[in-house]
Amino acid sequence: MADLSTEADEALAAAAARGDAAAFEILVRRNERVVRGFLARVAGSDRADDLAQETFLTAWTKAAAFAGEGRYRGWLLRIGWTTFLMDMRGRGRRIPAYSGTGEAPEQTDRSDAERDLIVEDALARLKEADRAAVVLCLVLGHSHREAAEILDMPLGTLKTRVARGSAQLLELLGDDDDSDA
Amino acid sequence: MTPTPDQLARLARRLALPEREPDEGFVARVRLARDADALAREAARARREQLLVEIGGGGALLFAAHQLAQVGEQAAALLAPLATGLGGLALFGLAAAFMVSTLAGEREELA
Repeated sequence: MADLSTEADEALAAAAARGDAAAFEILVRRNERVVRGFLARVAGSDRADDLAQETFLTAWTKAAAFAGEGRYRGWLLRIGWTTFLMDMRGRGRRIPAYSGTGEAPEQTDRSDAERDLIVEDALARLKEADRAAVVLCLVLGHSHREAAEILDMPLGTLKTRVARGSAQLLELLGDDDDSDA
Repeated sequence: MTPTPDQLARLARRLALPEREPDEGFVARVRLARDADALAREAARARREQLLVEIGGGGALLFAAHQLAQVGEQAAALLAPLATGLGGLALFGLAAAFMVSTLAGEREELA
């Protein structure tokens, strides 16, 4: 039996489309950190795992729909983004967008958990699409074009959202680099 | 304000996802969810099949009832002219004779 763990995501996705559960499990193992991280940044850490589970479930049931164009991870993130939007609509809630009048959190010595909370709070003040655009481009390193495809929006709109979201985050979080603190 | 590349790089470091090993707990959670989903789909498929069988059974019963009604109509069509020809009294006598013969048959069986 071939060692699936060395196969590329796209080959594993093709195997998953044929019903290979072992191949799909490797895809879950490889991509869960990124998918959960993306959803934690976009939806908040309290909803991230449920949404990620839903995302992988959809990816399994619709495995045949992955045409092999672009990266599998991008396809997963697109499902994750759609899952988040559907969840938000289903709950009838919308996290209030940042109005520009909120105070930037204090920049003092903090633990990792506190820093995470501050980052999450700052992200929550952005519009959902701005937040997702910033996370995809700045955090996950996707190109603007890839991010536009994942979020299903025009390239120009995506660039505007990244620029606006980044500026708002810098305003909220300050420009200190405390990642090594 | 347009952020500079340096500012964006610093922001990216602050937002970065922590590096870690794959979370086997989450992998198992997805596996369980997948299994549960497969079971739910199987149950839904079985329900659909059962519904189809029931609908088929109902249809067959309706068809049988229709056929019986047709046979009844044919029998009635055969008997109606006979009844008209014989008259009420003769029909009564025929029914009475039928009852008597039936009762006699039952008596013989009991004996």
